[in-house]
Amino acid sequence: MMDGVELKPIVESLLFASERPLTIRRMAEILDGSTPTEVERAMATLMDEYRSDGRGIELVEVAGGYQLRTRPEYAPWVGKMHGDKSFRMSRPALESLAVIAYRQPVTRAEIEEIRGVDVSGVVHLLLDRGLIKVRGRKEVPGRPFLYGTTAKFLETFGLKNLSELPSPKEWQELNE
Amino acid sequence: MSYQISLPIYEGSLNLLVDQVKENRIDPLAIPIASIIDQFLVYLRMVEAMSLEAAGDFMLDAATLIYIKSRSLLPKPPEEAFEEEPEARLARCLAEYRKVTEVVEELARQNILGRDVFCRAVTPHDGEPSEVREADLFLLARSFYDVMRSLGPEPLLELDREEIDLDERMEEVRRRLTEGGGVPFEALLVVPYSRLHVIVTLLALLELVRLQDVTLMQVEAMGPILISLRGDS
Repeated sequence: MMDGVELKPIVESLLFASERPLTIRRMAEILDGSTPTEVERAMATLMDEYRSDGRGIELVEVAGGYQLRTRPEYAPWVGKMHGDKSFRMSRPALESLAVIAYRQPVTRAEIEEIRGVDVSGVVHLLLDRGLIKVRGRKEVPGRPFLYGTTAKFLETFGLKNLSELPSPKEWQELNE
Repeated sequence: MSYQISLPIYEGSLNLLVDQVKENRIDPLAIPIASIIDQFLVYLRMVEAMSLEAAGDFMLDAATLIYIKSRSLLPKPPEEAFEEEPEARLARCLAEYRKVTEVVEELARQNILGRDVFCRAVTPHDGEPSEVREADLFLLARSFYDVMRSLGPEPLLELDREEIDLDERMEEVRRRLTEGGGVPFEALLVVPYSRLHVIVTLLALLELVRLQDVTLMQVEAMGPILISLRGDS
Protein backbone atom coordinates (compact mmCIF):
# COMPACT_ATOMS: atom_id res chain seq x y z
CA MET A 1 0.00 0.00 0.00
CA MET A 2 1.89 2.98 1.33
CA ASP A 3 5.62 2.84 0.84
CA GLY A 4 8.19 3.56 3.56
CA VAL A 5 8.62 7.21 2.58
CA GLU A 6 4.98 8.07 3.10
CA LEU A 7 4.63 5.97 6.21
CA LYS A 8 7.54 7.50 8.05
CA PRO A 9 6.00 10.89 9.01
CA ILE A 10 2.83 9.17 10.21
CA VAL A 11 4.83 6.78 12.35
CA GLU A 12 6.78 9.72 13.72
CA SER A 13 3.61 11.60 14.62
CA LEU A 14 2.19 8.56 16.39
CA LEU A 15 5.37 8.13 18.40
CA PHE A 16 5.41 11.80 19.28
CA ALA A 17 1.83 11.84 20.50
CA SER A 18 1.95 8.58 22.44
CA GLU A 19 2.59 8.52 26.17
CA ARG A 20 3.55 4.86 26.24
CA PRO A 21 5.82 2.80 24.01
CA LEU A 22 4.01 1.88 20.79
CA THR A 23 4.22 -1.63 19.39
CA ILE A 24 4.65 -2.30 15.70
CA ARG A 25 1.42 -4.25 15.76
CA ARG A 26 -0.53 -1.38 17.27
CA MET A 27 0.85 1.03 14.68
CA ALA A 28 -0.02 -1.36 11.87
CA GLU A 29 -3.56 -1.49 13.27
CA ILE A 30 -3.80 2.29 13.23
CA LEU A 31 -2.19 2.55 9.82
CA ASP A 32 -4.93 0.49 8.30
CA GLY A 33 -3.61 -1.24 5.23
CA SER A 34 0.05 -1.30 6.14
CA THR A 35 1.78 -4.48 7.12
CA PRO A 36 3.95 -4.74 10.24
CA THR A 37 6.94 -5.20 7.95
CA GLU A 38 6.26 -1.86 6.26
CA VAL A 39 5.88 -0.15 9.61
CA GLU A 40 9.09 -1.74 10.80
CA ARG A 41 10.93 -0.49 7.75
CA ALA A 42 9.63 3.06 8.29
CA MET A 43 10.67 2.77 11.93
CA ALA A 44 14.19 1.73 10.98
CA THR A 45 14.57 4.75 8.66
CA LEU A 46 13.28 7.03 11.38
CA MET A 47 15.61 5.50 13.95
CA ASP A 48 18.60 6.17 11.67
CA GLU A 49 17.56 9.77 11.26
CA TYR A 50 17.30 10.30 14.99
CA ARG A 51 20.65 8.64 15.44
CA SER A 52 22.40 11.35 13.44
CA ASP A 53 24.23 14.15 15.22
CA GLY A 54 22.62 17.26 16.55
CA ARG A 55 19.41 15.67 17.78
CA GLY A 56 18.07 16.09 21.32
CA ILE A 57 15.80 13.09 21.16
CA GLU A 58 16.23 9.54 20.08
CA LEU A 59 13.98 6.69 19.11
CA VAL A 60 14.46 3.69 21.37
CA GLU A 61 13.08 0.19 21.54
CA VAL A 62 11.71 -0.40 24.99
CA ALA A 63 9.14 -2.58 26.79
CA GLY A 64 8.20 -4.38 23.59
CA GLY A 65 7.55 -1.13 21.70
CA TYR A 66 9.13 2.09 20.50
CA GLN A 67 9.34 5.43 22.23
CA LEU A 68 10.79 8.89 21.60
CA ARG A 69 13.01 9.97 24.46
CA THR A 70 15.37 12.78 25.27
CA ARG A 71 19.00 11.77 25.06
CA PRO A 72 20.67 10.98 28.39
CA GLU A 73 23.34 13.66 27.87
CA TYR A 74 20.66 16.36 28.07
CA ALA A 75 19.22 15.06 31.35
CA PRO A 76 20.65 17.95 33.42
CA TRP A 77 18.55 20.49 31.55
CA VAL A 78 15.37 18.47 31.18
CA GLY A 79 15.69 17.47 34.82
CA LYS A 80 16.06 21.12 35.79
CA MET A 81 12.92 21.96 33.86
CA HIS A 82 10.99 19.27 35.69
CA GLY A 83 12.34 20.54 39.00
CA ASP A 84 11.87 18.26 41.96
CA LYS A 85 9.78 15.71 40.14
CA SER A 86 12.52 13.50 38.78
CA PHE A 87 12.68 9.77 39.38
CA ARG A 88 13.83 8.73 42.80
CA MET A 89 13.83 5.37 44.50
CA SER A 90 15.23 4.24 47.82
CA ARG A 91 17.80 1.50 48.03
CA PRO A 92 15.46 -0.95 49.84
CA ALA A 93 12.79 -0.43 47.18
CA LEU A 94 15.33 -0.97 44.42
CA GLU A 95 16.57 -4.16 46.09
CA SER A 96 13.10 -5.61 46.41
CA LEU A 97 12.38 -4.62 42.83
CA ALA A 98 15.53 -6.44 41.70
CA VAL A 99 14.48 -9.60 43.56
CA ILE A 100 11.01 -9.46 42.05
CA ALA A 101 12.44 -8.85 38.57
CA TYR A 102 14.63 -11.96 38.69
CA ARG A 103 12.50 -14.23 40.80
CA GLN A 104 9.07 -13.52 39.39
CA PRO A 105 6.53 -14.66 40.14
CA VAL A 106 7.58 -14.37 43.75
CA THR A 107 5.83 -14.06 47.10
CA ARG A 108 6.52 -11.43 49.72
CA ALA A 109 7.91 -14.10 52.05
CA GLU A 110 10.38 -15.17 49.38
CA ILE A 111 11.61 -11.60 48.93
CA GLU A 112 11.91 -11.28 52.68
CA GLU A 113 13.92 -14.48 52.85
CA ILE A 114 16.53 -13.00 50.53
CA ARG A 115 16.51 -9.46 51.85
CA GLY A 116 16.19 -10.47 55.48
CA VAL A 117 13.78 -7.67 56.36
CA ASP A 118 10.08 -6.95 56.21
CA VAL A 119 9.21 -5.71 52.74
CA SER A 120 5.46 -5.04 52.99
CA GLY A 121 6.02 -1.27 52.83
CA VAL A 122 8.21 -1.30 49.75
CA VAL A 123 5.99 -3.84 48.01
CA HIS A 124 3.06 -1.47 48.42
CA LEU A 125 5.17 1.40 47.17
CA LEU A 126 6.22 -0.56 44.08
CA LEU A 127 2.59 -1.54 43.47
CA ASP A 128 1.57 2.10 43.81
CA ARG A 129 4.18 3.18 41.32
CA GLY A 130 2.98 0.57 38.87
CA LEU A 131 6.36 -1.13 38.64
CA ILE A 132 5.04 -4.46 39.91
CA LYS A 133 1.67 -6.15 39.91
CA VAL A 134 -0.04 -9.13 41.47
CA ARG A 135 0.33 -12.06 39.15
CA GLY A 136 -1.83 -14.53 41.05
CA ARG A 137 -1.56 -16.57 44.20
CA LYS A 138 0.83 -19.29 45.18
CA GLU A 139 -0.88 -22.58 45.95
CA VAL A 140 0.67 -23.02 49.37
CA PRO A 141 -0.92 -22.55 52.80
CA GLY A 142 -2.20 -18.99 53.09
CA ARG A 143 -2.30 -18.62 49.29
CA PRO A 144 0.03 -15.58 49.28
CA PHE A 145 0.10 -13.16 46.36
CA LEU A 146 2.68 -13.64 43.66
CA TYR A 147 4.31 -10.49 42.33
CA GLY A 148 5.87 -9.75 38.98
CA THR A 149 7.14 -6.72 37.12
CA THR A 150 5.07 -4.65 34.70
CA ALA A 151 5.65 -3.12 31.28
CA LYS A 152 6.17 0.14 33.14
CA PHE A 153 9.12 -1.45 34.92
CA LEU A 154 10.73 -2.26 31.55
CA GLU A 155 9.93 1.22 30.31
CA THR A 156 11.37 2.89 33.41
CA PHE A 157 14.62 0.98 33.26
CA GLY A 158 14.90 1.17 29.49
CA LEU A 159 14.70 -2.59 28.87
CA LYS A 160 13.28 -4.17 25.74
CA ASN A 161 12.15 -7.22 27.68
CA LEU A 162 12.96 -9.19 30.81
CA SER A 163 15.81 -11.08 29.18
CA GLU A 164 17.66 -7.76 28.99
CA LEU A 165 17.96 -7.56 32.76
CA PRO A 166 21.58 -6.96 33.76
CA SER A 167 23.81 -9.98 34.43
CA PRO A 168 21.14 -12.65 34.61
CA LYS A 169 23.71 -15.36 33.96
CA GLU A 170 24.91 -15.61 37.53
CA TRP A 171 21.32 -15.80 38.65
CA GLN A 172 20.58 -18.71 36.43
CA GLU A 173 23.63 -20.51 37.77
CA LEU A 174 22.34 -19.87 41.24
CA ASN A 175 19.01 -21.42 40.34
CA GLU A 176 20.48 -24.65 39.13
CA MET B 1 12.54 -45.73 87.51
CA SER B 2 11.52 -45.93 83.90
CA TYR B 3 8.66 -48.04 82.68
CA GLN B 4 9.64 -51.54 81.60
CA ILE B 5 8.29 -53.06 78.41
CA SER B 6 8.60 -56.39 76.71
CA LEU B 7 8.57 -56.62 72.92
CA PRO B 8 9.71 -59.35 70.51
CA ILE B 9 12.75 -57.28 69.60
CA TYR B 10 13.36 -55.49 72.83
CA GLU B 11 13.19 -55.99 76.52
CA GLY B 12 13.85 -53.20 79.00
CA SER B 13 12.97 -49.66 79.87
CA LEU B 14 10.96 -47.57 77.44
CA ASN B 15 13.33 -44.71 78.02
CA LEU B 16 16.27 -46.76 76.84
CA LEU B 17 14.29 -47.92 73.80
CA VAL B 18 13.78 -44.34 72.72
CA ASP B 19 17.51 -43.71 73.02
CA GLN B 20 18.26 -46.82 70.96
CA VAL B 21 15.89 -45.75 68.23
CA LYS B 22 17.32 -42.24 68.21
CA GLU B 23 20.77 -43.66 67.74
CA ASN B 24 19.53 -45.81 64.86
CA ARG B 25 20.30 -49.02 66.69
CA ILE B 26 16.71 -50.19 66.45
CA ASP B 27 14.52 -49.73 63.39
CA PRO B 28 11.49 -47.64 64.43
CA LEU B 29 9.36 -49.51 61.89
CA ALA B 30 9.92 -52.73 63.84
CA ILE B 31 8.36 -51.37 67.01
CA PRO B 32 4.70 -52.11 67.55
CA ILE B 33 3.47 -48.90 69.16
CA ALA B 34 0.06 -50.44 69.84
CA SER B 35 1.64 -53.18 71.87
CA ILE B 36 3.55 -50.66 73.97
CA ILE B 37 0.33 -48.79 74.68
CA ASP B 38 -1.45 -52.03 75.57
CA GLN B 39 1.28 -52.97 78.01
CA PHE B 40 1.15 -49.53 79.53
CA LEU B 41 -2.60 -49.74 80.06
CA VAL B 42 -2.21 -53.08 81.79
CA TYR B 43 0.52 -51.60 83.94
CA LEU B 44 -1.72 -48.64 84.74
CA ARG B 45 -4.45 -50.90 85.98
CA MET B 46 -2.02 -52.83 88.12
CA VAL B 47 -0.47 -49.85 89.78
CA GLU B 48 -3.28 -48.22 91.67
CA ALA B 49 -1.65 -44.98 92.59
CA MET B 50 0.22 -44.04 89.47
CA SER B 51 2.27 -40.95 90.03
CA LEU B 52 1.80 -38.10 87.58
CA GLU B 53 5.52 -37.92 87.02
CA ALA B 54 5.80 -41.54 85.90
CA ALA B 55 2.80 -41.14 83.61
CA GLY B 56 4.32 -37.96 82.18
CA ASP B 57 7.60 -39.73 81.49
CA PHE B 58 5.77 -42.49 79.72
CA MET B 59 3.80 -40.07 77.62
CA LEU B 60 6.96 -38.29 76.56
CA ASP B 61 8.76 -41.51 75.64
CA ALA B 62 5.77 -43.00 73.85
CA ALA B 63 5.12 -39.75 71.99
CA THR B 64 8.75 -39.55 70.88
CA LEU B 65 8.56 -43.10 69.58
CA ILE B 66 5.33 -42.46 67.75
CA TYR B 67 6.83 -39.32 66.24
CA ILE B 68 9.94 -41.11 65.04
CA LYS B 69 7.95 -44.01 63.68
CA SER B 70 5.37 -41.84 61.92
CA ARG B 71 8.16 -39.85 60.30
CA SER B 72 9.80 -42.95 58.97
CA LEU B 73 6.46 -44.16 57.63
CA LEU B 74 5.92 -40.97 55.61
CA PRO B 75 7.20 -40.91 52.05
CA LYS B 76 10.48 -39.04 51.75
CA PRO B 77 10.14 -35.63 50.11
CA PRO B 78 11.85 -35.52 46.71
CA GLU B 79 15.51 -34.69 47.33
CA GLU B 80 16.38 -31.79 49.61
CA ALA B 81 13.48 -29.68 48.30
CA PHE B 82 12.05 -29.23 51.78
CA GLU B 83 14.60 -30.33 54.31
CA GLU B 84 17.26 -27.76 53.51
CA GLU B 85 19.86 -27.38 56.23
CA PRO B 86 19.54 -24.01 58.00
CA GLU B 87 23.21 -23.22 57.30
CA ALA B 88 22.88 -24.05 53.61
CA ARG B 89 19.73 -21.99 53.45
CA LEU B 90 21.37 -19.01 55.07
CA ALA B 91 24.36 -19.32 52.76
CA ARG B 92 22.08 -19.49 49.75
CA CYS B 93 20.11 -16.43 50.89
CA LEU B 94 23.30 -14.50 51.47
CA ALA B 95 24.64 -15.47 48.08
CA GLU B 96 21.40 -14.38 46.49
CA TYR B 97 21.42 -11.16 48.42
CA ARG B 98 24.92 -10.41 47.18
CA LYS B 99 23.67 -10.89 43.63
CA VAL B 100 20.79 -8.58 44.40
CA THR B 101 23.12 -5.81 45.45
CA GLU B 102 25.15 -6.25 42.26
CA VAL B 103 22.03 -6.16 40.17
CA VAL B 104 20.82 -3.07 41.98
CA GLU B 105 24.02 -1.28 40.97
CA GLU B 106 23.39 -2.36 37.40
CA LEU B 107 19.78 -1.26 37.46
CA ALA B 108 20.72 2.10 38.93
CA ARG B 109 23.23 2.57 36.11
CA GLN B 110 20.54 2.13 33.46
CA ASN B 111 19.20 5.20 31.72
CA ILE B 112 16.21 5.58 33.94
CA LEU B 113 13.08 7.18 32.58
CA GLY B 114 12.36 10.36 34.53
CA ARG B 115 15.97 10.66 35.67
CA ASP B 116 18.33 10.27 32.71
CA VAL B 117 15.92 10.18 29.84
CA PHE B 118 12.49 11.68 29.47
CA CYS B 119 9.54 11.06 27.29
CA ARG B 120 6.42 13.08 26.82
CA ALA B 121 3.81 13.43 29.56
CA VAL B 122 5.63 11.27 32.04
CA THR B 123 6.12 14.08 34.49
CA PRO B 124 3.21 16.19 35.68
CA HIS B 125 2.49 19.53 34.12
CA ASP B 126 3.58 22.61 35.96
CA GLY B 127 1.53 23.74 38.90
CA GLU B 128 -0.81 20.85 38.64
CA PRO B 129 -0.32 18.24 41.33
CA SER B 130 -1.58 15.46 39.11
CA GLU B 131 -2.29 12.05 40.53
CA VAL B 132 -3.37 13.30 43.90
CA ARG B 133 -4.48 10.19 45.67
CA GLU B 134 -6.39 9.49 48.81
CA ALA B 135 -3.79 9.22 51.55
CA ASP B 136 -3.41 5.83 53.11
CA LEU B 137 -4.29 5.05 56.67
CA PHE B 138 -0.94 3.58 57.61
CA LEU B 139 0.95 6.65 56.58
CA LEU B 140 -1.48 8.73 58.60
CA ALA B 141 -0.85 6.52 61.61
CA ARG B 142 2.87 6.70 61.09
CA SER B 143 2.88 10.47 60.73
CA PHE B 144 0.97 10.65 63.96
CA TYR B 145 3.44 8.35 65.63
CA ASP B 146 6.35 10.46 64.37
CA VAL B 147 4.81 13.59 65.81
CA MET B 148 4.18 11.88 69.14
CA ARG B 149 7.74 10.68 69.25
CA SER B 150 9.14 14.07 68.34
CA LEU B 151 7.43 15.45 71.41
CA GLY B 152 9.68 13.37 73.62
CA PRO B 153 8.75 12.19 77.07
CA GLU B 154 6.08 14.00 78.95
CA PRO B 155 7.52 16.48 81.45
CA LEU B 156 7.40 15.09 84.93
CA LEU B 157 5.96 18.16 86.54
CA GLU B 158 2.37 18.43 85.57
CA LEU B 159 -0.18 20.38 87.45
CA ASP B 160 -3.73 20.38 86.23
CA ARG B 161 -4.70 18.24 83.32
CA GLU B 162 -5.74 20.70 80.68
CA GLU B 163 -9.17 20.41 79.26
CA ILE B 164 -9.17 20.19 75.50
CA ASP B 165 -12.47 20.32 73.79
CA LEU B 166 -12.89 18.20 70.66
CA ASP B 167 -15.35 20.62 69.05
CA GLU B 168 -12.97 23.49 69.73
CA ARG B 169 -10.14 21.64 68.07
CA MET B 170 -12.34 20.81 65.08
CA GLU B 171 -13.15 24.48 64.69
CA GLU B 172 -9.48 25.36 64.99
CA VAL B 173 -8.53 22.82 62.32
CA ARG B 174 -11.27 24.15 60.04
CA ARG B 175 -10.04 27.69 60.60
CA ARG B 176 -6.46 26.74 59.75
CA LEU B 177 -7.60 25.03 56.57
CA THR B 178 -9.69 27.96 55.34
CA GLU B 179 -6.53 30.02 55.32
CA GLY B 180 -5.30 27.81 52.49
CA GLY B 181 -5.71 24.20 51.44
CA GLY B 182 -3.03 21.57 51.37
CA VAL B 183 -1.75 22.00 54.92
CA PRO B 184 0.73 19.20 55.67
CA PHE B 185 -0.42 16.84 58.37
CA GLU B 186 2.65 17.48 60.50
CA ALA B 187 2.20 21.24 60.32
CA LEU B 188 -1.23 20.84 61.85
CA LEU B 189 0.02 18.73 64.72
CA VAL B 190 3.51 19.96 65.39
CA VAL B 191 2.87 22.62 67.94
CA PRO B 192 4.47 23.32 71.26
CA TYR B 193 1.55 21.64 72.90
CA SER B 194 1.15 18.58 75.03
CA ARG B 195 0.55 15.02 73.93
CA LEU B 196 -3.07 15.28 74.84
CA HIS B 197 -3.40 18.29 72.59
CA VAL B 198 -1.90 16.41 69.66
CA ILE B 199 -4.12 13.40 70.30
CA VAL B 200 -7.27 15.49 70.46
CA THR B 201 -6.23 17.28 67.28
CA LEU B 202 -5.87 13.94 65.52
CA LEU B 203 -9.29 12.90 66.78
CA ALA B 204 -10.69 16.21 65.57
CA LEU B 205 -9.12 15.63 62.19
CA LEU B 206 -10.51 12.09 61.95
CA GLU B 207 -13.92 13.38 62.93
CA LEU B 208 -13.72 16.00 60.16
CA VAL B 209 -12.77 13.26 57.71
CA ARG B 210 -15.75 11.23 58.89
CA LEU B 211 -18.04 14.19 58.43
CA GLN B 212 -16.54 14.55 54.95
CA ASP B 213 -15.48 18.10 55.73
CA VAL B 214 -11.83 17.52 54.88
CA THR B 215 -9.83 15.24 52.66
CA LEU B 216 -6.38 13.80 53.23
CA MET B 217 -4.31 13.52 50.10
CA GLN B 218 -0.85 12.59 48.94
CA VAL B 219 0.83 13.81 45.80
CA GLU B 220 3.09 10.78 45.73
CA ALA B 221 3.18 7.46 47.48
CA MET B 222 4.76 7.78 50.94
CA GLY B 223 4.84 11.54 50.41
CA PRO B 224 3.55 14.00 52.95
CA ILE B 225 -0.15 13.93 53.76
CA LEU B 226 -1.88 17.12 52.74
CA ILE B 227 -5.08 18.19 54.37
CA SER B 228 -7.64 20.43 52.74
CA LEU B 229 -11.23 21.34 53.17
CA ARG B 230 -13.49 19.43 50.86
CA GLY B 231 -14.58 21.53 47.93
CA ASP B 232 -11.74 24.04 47.96
CA SER B 233 -9.10 22.05 46.13
